[in-house]
Amino acid sequence: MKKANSSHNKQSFEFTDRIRKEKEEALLNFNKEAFRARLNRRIEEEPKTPSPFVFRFRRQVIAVSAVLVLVVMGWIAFQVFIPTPSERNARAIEKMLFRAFESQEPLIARSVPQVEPIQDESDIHEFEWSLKRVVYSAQREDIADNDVPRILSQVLQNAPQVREVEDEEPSGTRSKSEDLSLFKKSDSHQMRYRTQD
Amino acid sequence: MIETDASTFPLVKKMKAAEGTERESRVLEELMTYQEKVFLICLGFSRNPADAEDLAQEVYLKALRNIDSLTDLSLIKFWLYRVTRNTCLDFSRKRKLRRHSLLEPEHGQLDSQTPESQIMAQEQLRSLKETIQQLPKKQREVFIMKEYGDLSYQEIAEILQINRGTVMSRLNRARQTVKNRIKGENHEKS
Repeated sequence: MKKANSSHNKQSFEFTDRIRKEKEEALLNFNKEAFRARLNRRIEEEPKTPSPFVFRFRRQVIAVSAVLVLVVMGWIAFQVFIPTPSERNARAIEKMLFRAFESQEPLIARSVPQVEPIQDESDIHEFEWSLKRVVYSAQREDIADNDVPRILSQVLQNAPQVREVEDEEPSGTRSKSEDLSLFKKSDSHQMRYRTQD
Repeated sequence: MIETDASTFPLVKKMKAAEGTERESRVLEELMTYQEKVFLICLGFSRNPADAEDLAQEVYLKALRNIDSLTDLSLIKFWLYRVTRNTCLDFSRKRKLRRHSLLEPEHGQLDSQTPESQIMAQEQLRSLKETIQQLPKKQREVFIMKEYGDLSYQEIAEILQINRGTVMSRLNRARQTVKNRIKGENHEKS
Protein backbone atom coordinates (compact mmCIF):
# COMPACT_ATOMS: atom_id res chain seq x y z
CA MET A 1 0.00 0.00 0.00
CA LYS A 2 2.76 2.35 1.05
CA LYS A 3 4.72 1.41 -2.04
CA ALA A 4 1.74 2.09 -4.30
CA ASN A 5 1.20 5.49 -2.67
CA SER A 6 4.81 6.47 -3.04
CA SER A 7 4.78 5.49 -6.72
CA HIS A 8 1.59 7.50 -7.21
CA ASN A 9 3.13 10.57 -5.61
CA LYS A 10 6.27 10.09 -7.63
CA GLN A 11 4.34 10.15 -10.91
CA SER A 12 2.34 13.13 -9.73
CA PHE A 13 5.53 14.96 -8.88
CA GLU A 14 6.99 13.94 -12.20
CA PHE A 15 4.35 15.57 -14.37
CA THR A 16 4.03 18.70 -12.22
CA ASP A 17 7.79 19.00 -12.34
CA ARG A 18 7.83 18.63 -16.10
CA ILE A 19 5.17 21.32 -16.44
CA ARG A 20 6.98 23.62 -14.00
CA LYS A 21 10.21 23.31 -15.94
CA GLU A 22 8.45 23.93 -19.24
CA LYS A 23 6.78 27.05 -17.84
CA GLU A 24 10.03 28.40 -16.42
CA GLU A 25 11.86 27.95 -19.70
CA ALA A 26 9.04 29.48 -21.67
CA LEU A 27 8.82 32.50 -19.36
CA LEU A 28 12.56 33.02 -19.60
CA ASN A 29 12.23 33.44 -23.33
CA PHE A 30 9.01 35.41 -23.13
CA ASN A 31 9.89 39.00 -23.79
CA LYS A 32 7.02 41.18 -22.66
CA GLU A 33 8.27 44.25 -24.49
CA ALA A 34 8.71 42.34 -27.72
CA PHE A 35 5.27 40.85 -27.26
CA ARG A 36 3.73 44.29 -26.83
CA ALA A 37 5.64 45.73 -29.79
CA ARG A 38 4.51 42.86 -31.99
CA LEU A 39 0.93 43.25 -30.85
CA ASN A 40 1.22 46.95 -31.60
CA ARG A 41 2.38 46.21 -35.13
CA ARG A 42 -0.45 43.76 -35.68
CA ILE A 43 -2.99 46.29 -34.48
CA GLU A 44 -1.50 48.78 -36.95
CA GLU A 45 -1.99 46.24 -39.69
CA GLU A 46 -5.67 45.93 -38.87
CA PRO A 47 -7.93 47.57 -41.48
CA LYS A 48 -7.56 51.34 -41.19
CA THR A 49 -11.11 52.22 -42.05
CA PRO A 50 -13.24 51.84 -38.99
CA SER A 51 -16.12 49.48 -39.48
CA PRO A 52 -19.49 51.15 -39.89
CA PHE A 53 -21.21 52.03 -36.66
CA VAL A 54 -23.84 49.31 -37.03
CA PHE A 55 -21.25 46.54 -37.41
CA ARG A 56 -19.77 47.36 -34.04
CA PHE A 57 -22.89 45.83 -32.58
CA ARG A 58 -22.84 42.66 -34.63
CA ARG A 59 -25.28 40.73 -32.45
CA GLN A 60 -27.84 43.48 -32.52
CA VAL A 61 -27.42 43.89 -36.27
CA ILE A 62 -27.99 40.18 -36.83
CA ALA A 63 -31.03 40.17 -34.55
CA VAL A 64 -32.56 43.22 -36.22
CA SER A 65 -31.87 41.80 -39.69
CA ALA A 66 -33.47 38.49 -38.73
CA VAL A 67 -36.56 40.27 -37.42
CA LEU A 68 -36.80 42.36 -40.59
CA VAL A 69 -36.51 39.30 -42.80
CA LEU A 70 -39.21 37.54 -40.77
CA VAL A 71 -41.49 40.55 -41.00
CA VAL A 72 -41.05 40.76 -44.78
CA MET A 73 -41.64 37.02 -45.17
CA GLY A 74 -44.70 37.24 -42.95
CA TRP A 75 -46.07 40.12 -45.00
CA ILE A 76 -45.54 38.18 -48.25
CA ALA A 77 -47.16 35.09 -46.77
CA PHE A 78 -50.07 37.23 -45.59
CA GLN A 79 -50.51 38.66 -49.07
CA VAL A 80 -50.33 35.25 -50.72
CA PHE A 81 -52.24 33.01 -48.35
CA ILE A 82 -54.68 35.20 -46.45
CA PRO A 83 -57.87 35.88 -48.50
CA THR A 84 -59.22 39.36 -49.09
CA PRO A 85 -62.42 40.41 -47.23
CA SER A 86 -64.54 39.76 -50.33
CA GLU A 87 -63.02 36.29 -50.73
CA ARG A 88 -63.70 35.63 -47.07
CA ASN A 89 -67.33 36.69 -47.48
CA ALA A 90 -67.74 34.51 -50.54
CA ARG A 91 -66.34 31.54 -48.68
CA ALA A 92 -68.59 32.18 -45.70
CA ILE A 93 -71.67 32.40 -47.92
CA GLU A 94 -70.65 29.25 -49.75
CA LYS A 95 -70.25 27.47 -46.45
CA MET A 96 -73.57 28.72 -45.16
CA LEU A 97 -75.40 27.70 -48.35
CA PHE A 98 -73.78 24.32 -48.27
CA ARG A 99 -74.91 23.79 -44.66
CA ALA A 100 -78.38 25.07 -45.45
CA PHE A 101 -78.62 22.76 -48.42
CA GLU A 102 -77.44 19.83 -46.34
CA SER A 103 -80.04 20.51 -43.66
CA GLN A 104 -82.81 21.08 -46.21
CA GLU A 105 -81.94 18.06 -48.32
CA PRO A 106 -84.37 15.65 -46.61
CA LEU A 107 -87.17 18.20 -46.95
CA ILE A 108 -86.39 18.71 -50.62
CA ALA A 109 -86.27 14.97 -51.17
CA ARG A 110 -89.69 14.67 -49.54
CA SER A 111 -91.17 17.50 -51.54
CA VAL A 112 -89.93 16.27 -54.92
CA PRO A 113 -92.29 13.29 -55.28
CA GLN A 114 -95.29 15.63 -54.82
CA VAL A 115 -94.58 17.08 -58.24
CA GLU A 116 -95.46 14.31 -60.53
CA PRO A 117 -93.76 14.28 -63.87
CA ILE A 118 -95.93 15.38 -66.74
CA GLN A 119 -96.46 12.38 -68.86
CA ASP A 120 -99.79 12.93 -70.49
CA GLU A 121 -99.83 14.65 -73.90
CA SER A 122 -102.64 16.92 -72.82
CA ASP A 123 -100.65 17.90 -69.74
CA ILE A 124 -97.69 18.78 -71.92
CA HIS A 125 -99.98 20.80 -74.13
CA GLU A 126 -101.37 22.55 -71.07
CA PHE A 127 -97.93 23.31 -69.77
CA GLU A 128 -96.87 24.63 -73.16
CA TRP A 129 -99.80 26.96 -73.16
CA SER A 130 -99.13 28.23 -69.70
CA LEU A 131 -95.66 29.14 -70.83
CA LYS A 132 -96.99 30.78 -73.95
CA ARG A 133 -99.41 32.77 -71.85
CA VAL A 134 -96.49 34.11 -69.90
CA VAL A 135 -94.69 35.11 -73.06
CA TYR A 136 -97.73 36.79 -74.54
CA SER A 137 -98.53 38.62 -71.33
CA ALA A 138 -94.99 39.74 -71.19
CA GLN A 139 -95.29 41.21 -74.66
CA ARG A 140 -98.55 42.90 -73.85
CA GLU A 141 -97.61 44.30 -70.46
CA ASP A 142 -94.08 45.29 -71.50
CA ILE A 143 -92.35 43.41 -68.74
CA ALA A 144 -88.65 43.98 -68.20
CA ASP A 145 -86.28 41.12 -69.06
CA ASN A 146 -85.27 40.81 -65.42
CA ASP A 147 -88.80 39.98 -64.37
CA VAL A 148 -89.35 37.20 -66.91
CA PRO A 149 -87.39 34.49 -65.01
CA ARG A 150 -89.22 35.42 -61.80
CA ILE A 151 -92.65 35.13 -63.43
CA LEU A 152 -91.64 31.92 -65.15
CA SER A 153 -90.49 30.42 -61.89
CA GLN A 154 -93.84 31.36 -60.38
CA VAL A 155 -95.59 29.60 -63.24
CA LEU A 156 -93.51 26.54 -62.68
CA GLN A 157 -94.24 26.64 -58.98
CA ASN A 158 -97.94 26.96 -59.71
CA ALA A 159 -97.89 24.04 -62.10
CA PRO A 160 -98.60 21.41 -59.37
CA GLN A 161 -101.36 23.65 -58.04
CA VAL A 162 -102.89 23.65 -61.46
CA ARG A 163 -102.57 19.89 -61.46
CA GLU A 164 -104.15 19.65 -58.04
CA VAL A 165 -107.01 21.87 -59.21
CA GLU A 166 -107.27 19.72 -62.28
CA ASP A 167 -107.29 16.62 -60.12
CA GLU A 168 -110.14 18.03 -58.11
CA GLU A 169 -112.12 18.93 -61.21
CA PRO A 170 -112.44 16.51 -64.09
CA SER A 171 -110.22 17.54 -66.95
CA GLY A 172 -111.79 19.58 -69.69
CA THR A 173 -114.46 21.10 -67.43
CA ARG A 174 -112.39 24.29 -67.04
CA SER A 175 -111.94 26.50 -70.09
CA LYS A 176 -108.66 28.04 -71.28
CA SER A 177 -109.88 31.47 -70.29
CA GLU A 178 -110.27 30.23 -66.73
CA ASP A 179 -106.70 29.01 -66.80
CA LEU A 180 -105.53 32.38 -68.02
CA SER A 181 -107.52 34.17 -65.35
CA LEU A 182 -105.91 31.88 -62.77
CA PHE A 183 -102.52 32.97 -63.99
CA LYS A 184 -103.55 36.60 -64.19
CA LYS A 185 -104.97 36.47 -60.71
CA SER A 186 -101.71 35.22 -59.28
CA ASP A 187 -99.54 37.50 -61.32
CA SER A 188 -101.62 40.62 -61.38
CA HIS A 189 -100.38 41.72 -58.01
CA GLN A 190 -96.80 41.67 -59.24
CA MET A 191 -97.71 43.51 -62.39
CA ARG A 192 -99.36 46.22 -60.41
CA TYR A 193 -96.37 46.46 -58.20
CA ARG A 194 -94.11 46.96 -61.18
CA THR A 195 -96.25 49.71 -62.74
CA GLN A 196 -96.26 51.54 -59.44
CA ASP A 197 -92.45 51.57 -59.57
CA MET B 1 2.88 43.24 -11.94
CA ILE B 2 3.54 43.94 -15.60
CA GLU B 3 3.77 47.57 -16.57
CA THR B 4 1.65 48.58 -19.51
CA ASP B 5 1.37 51.74 -21.44
CA ALA B 6 -1.95 51.81 -23.14
CA SER B 7 -1.06 54.90 -25.15
CA THR B 8 1.37 52.85 -27.27
CA PHE B 9 -1.62 51.13 -28.92
CA PRO B 10 -2.92 52.97 -31.97
CA LEU B 11 -6.26 51.26 -31.54
CA VAL B 12 -6.57 52.83 -28.14
CA LYS B 13 -5.53 56.20 -29.53
CA LYS B 14 -8.16 55.86 -32.20
CA MET B 15 -10.73 54.92 -29.61
CA LYS B 16 -9.78 57.85 -27.46
CA ALA B 17 -9.97 60.23 -30.38
CA ALA B 18 -13.23 58.85 -31.60
CA GLU B 19 -15.10 58.44 -28.40
CA GLY B 20 -13.19 60.52 -25.95
CA THR B 21 -13.61 58.02 -23.17
CA GLU B 22 -11.13 56.55 -20.76
CA ARG B 23 -12.92 53.28 -20.63
CA GLU B 24 -11.02 51.60 -23.48
CA SER B 25 -7.59 52.57 -22.21
CA ARG B 26 -8.54 51.33 -18.78
CA VAL B 27 -9.72 48.08 -20.30
CA LEU B 28 -6.52 47.60 -22.23
CA GLU B 29 -4.33 48.38 -19.26
CA GLU B 30 -6.27 45.86 -17.28
CA LEU B 31 -6.02 43.28 -20.06
CA MET B 32 -2.26 43.63 -20.32
CA THR B 33 -1.79 42.76 -16.65
CA TYR B 34 -2.81 39.20 -17.47
CA GLN B 35 -0.50 38.67 -20.45
CA GLU B 36 1.79 36.29 -18.61
CA LYS B 37 -1.04 34.02 -17.50
CA VAL B 38 -2.60 34.17 -20.93
CA PHE B 39 0.75 33.16 -22.40
CA LEU B 40 1.06 30.22 -20.00
CA ILE B 41 -2.46 28.97 -20.73
CA CYS B 42 -1.65 29.21 -24.42
CA LEU B 43 1.52 27.24 -23.73
CA GLY B 44 -0.60 24.45 -22.28
CA PHE B 45 -2.66 24.27 -25.42
CA SER B 46 0.22 24.59 -27.87
CA ARG B 47 3.27 22.44 -28.46
CA ASN B 48 5.99 25.06 -27.97
CA PRO B 49 6.56 28.61 -26.63
CA ALA B 50 6.64 30.10 -30.13
CA ASP B 51 3.16 28.77 -30.88
CA ALA B 52 2.04 29.92 -27.45
CA GLU B 53 3.18 33.46 -28.17
CA ASP B 54 1.36 33.49 -31.50
CA LEU B 55 -1.73 32.24 -29.74
CA ALA B 56 -1.46 34.89 -27.04
CA GLN B 57 -1.22 37.53 -29.77
CA GLU B 58 -4.38 36.14 -31.33
CA VAL B 59 -6.09 36.23 -27.95
CA TYR B 60 -5.31 39.92 -27.48
CA LEU B 61 -6.31 40.86 -31.00
CA LYS B 62 -9.56 38.99 -30.60
CA ALA B 63 -10.19 40.62 -27.25
CA LEU B 64 -9.53 44.10 -28.67
CA ARG B 65 -11.78 43.46 -31.65
CA ASN B 66 -14.60 42.35 -29.39
CA ILE B 67 -14.04 44.85 -26.64
CA ASP B 68 -17.61 46.10 -27.04
CA SER B 69 -18.97 42.81 -25.80
CA LEU B 70 -17.38 43.46 -22.41
CA THR B 71 -20.15 45.07 -20.42
CA ASP B 72 -18.98 44.67 -16.85
CA LEU B 73 -15.41 45.77 -16.11
CA SER B 74 -15.33 43.84 -12.88
CA LEU B 75 -15.50 40.63 -14.91
CA ILE B 76 -12.65 41.56 -17.27
CA LYS B 77 -10.33 38.84 -15.99
CA PHE B 78 -12.86 36.06 -16.59
CA TRP B 79 -13.82 37.57 -19.91
CA LEU B 80 -10.19 37.55 -21.07
CA TYR B 81 -9.62 33.98 -19.88
CA ARG B 82 -12.78 32.95 -21.69
CA VAL B 83 -11.45 34.54 -24.89
CA THR B 84 -8.16 32.73 -24.27
CA ARG B 85 -9.87 29.40 -23.78
CA ASN B 86 -12.01 29.80 -26.91
CA THR B 87 -9.07 30.87 -29.06
CA CYS B 88 -6.95 27.97 -27.80
CA LEU B 89 -9.71 25.44 -28.38
CA ASP B 90 -10.12 26.76 -31.94
CA PHE B 91 -6.40 26.39 -32.41
CA SER B 92 -6.45 22.82 -31.04
CA ARG B 93 -9.32 21.91 -33.35
CA LYS B 94 -7.46 23.22 -36.37
CA ARG B 95 -4.28 21.50 -35.32
CA LYS B 96 -6.11 18.21 -34.92
CA LEU B 97 -6.81 18.33 -38.63
CA ARG B 98 -3.09 18.36 -39.30
CA ARG B 99 -2.22 16.13 -36.41
CA HIS B 100 0.97 14.76 -37.92
CA SER B 101 2.70 18.09 -37.27
CA LEU B 102 2.42 17.46 -33.54
CA LEU B 103 4.58 14.38 -33.88
CA GLU B 104 7.31 16.12 -35.81
CA PRO B 105 10.51 16.91 -33.85
CA GLU B 106 10.90 20.46 -32.63
CA HIS B 107 13.39 22.15 -34.92
CA GLY B 108 15.57 24.77 -33.37
CA GLN B 109 15.21 23.49 -29.86
CA LEU B 110 17.38 20.45 -30.15
CA ASP B 111 20.73 20.38 -31.83
CA SER B 112 23.51 17.85 -32.12
CA GLN B 113 25.32 19.42 -29.15
CA THR B 114 22.43 18.80 -26.72
CA PRO B 115 23.41 16.52 -23.85
CA GLU B 116 21.59 13.22 -23.51
CA SER B 117 19.72 14.30 -20.40
CA GLN B 118 18.34 17.30 -22.27
CA ILE B 119 17.16 15.07 -25.10
CA MET B 120 15.50 12.85 -22.55
CA ALA B 121 13.79 15.85 -20.97
CA GLN B 122 12.57 17.02 -24.35
CA GLU B 123 11.24 13.57 -25.11
CA GLN B 124 9.42 13.46 -21.78
CA LEU B 125 7.95 16.87 -22.41
CA ARG B 126 6.76 15.87 -25.85
CA SER B 127 5.16 12.78 -24.37
CA LEU B 128 3.44 14.89 -21.68
CA LYS B 129 2.14 17.30 -24.32
CA GLU B 130 0.74 14.42 -26.30
CA THR B 131 -0.97 13.05 -23.20
CA ILE B 132 -2.53 16.43 -22.47
CA GLN B 133 -3.72 16.76 -26.06
CA GLN B 134 -5.34 13.35 -25.85
CA LEU B 135 -7.39 14.28 -22.78
CA PRO B 136 -11.11 14.87 -23.32
CA LYS B 137 -11.79 18.53 -24.07
CA LYS B 138 -13.54 19.26 -20.76
CA GLN B 139 -10.78 17.68 -18.70
CA ARG B 140 -8.05 19.21 -20.82
CA GLU B 141 -9.21 22.80 -20.39
CA VAL B 142 -9.50 22.42 -16.62
CA PHE B 143 -6.11 20.72 -16.39
CA ILE B 144 -4.34 23.41 -18.41
CA MET B 145 -5.97 26.29 -16.55
CA LYS B 146 -4.93 24.78 -13.25
CA GLU B 147 -1.49 23.40 -14.06
CA TYR B 148 -0.31 26.01 -16.55
CA GLY B 149 -2.37 29.07 -15.65
CA ASP B 150 -2.26 28.46 -11.88
CA LEU B 151 -5.88 29.57 -11.64
CA SER B 152 -7.92 28.75 -8.57
CA TYR B 153 -10.84 26.32 -8.63
CA GLN B 154 -13.20 29.24 -8.22
CA GLU B 155 -11.68 31.17 -11.10
CA ILE B 156 -11.90 28.15 -13.38
CA ALA B 157 -15.49 27.61 -12.31
CA GLU B 158 -16.30 31.25 -13.16
CA ILE B 159 -14.61 31.06 -16.56
CA LEU B 160 -16.26 27.82 -17.58
CA GLN B 161 -19.49 28.68 -15.79
CA ILE B 162 -19.65 25.37 -13.97
CA ASN B 163 -19.62 24.30 -10.30
CA ARG B 164 -16.48 24.27 -8.26
CA GLY B 165 -17.07 20.59 -7.56
CA THR B 166 -17.24 19.82 -11.26
CA VAL B 167 -13.92 21.59 -11.74
CA MET B 168 -12.37 19.46 -9.01
CA SER B 169 -13.71 16.20 -10.35
CA ARG B 170 -12.63 16.98 -13.93
CA LEU B 171 -9.19 17.97 -12.73
CA ASN B 172 -8.88 14.84 -10.66
CA ARG B 173 -9.78 12.63 -13.61
CA ALA B 174 -7.36 14.49 -15.87
CA ARG B 175 -4.51 14.16 -13.38
CA GLN B 176 -5.27 10.50 -12.98
CA THR B 177 -5.06 9.95 -16.72
CA VAL B 178 -1.77 11.80 -16.99
CA LYS B 179 -0.30 9.86 -14.07
CA ASN B 180 -1.35 6.54 -15.55
CA ARG B 181 0.23 7.49 -18.84
CA ILE B 182 3.53 8.37 -17.12
CA LYS B 183 3.33 5.15 -15.15
CA GLY B 184 2.89 3.23 -18.39
CA GLU B 185 5.90 4.97 -19.91
CA ASN B 186 8.10 4.23 -16.92
CA HIS B 187 6.98 0.62 -17.01
CA GLU B 188 7.89 0.34 -20.69
CA LYS B 189 11.34 1.80 -20.04
CA SER B 190 12.08 -0.54 -17.18
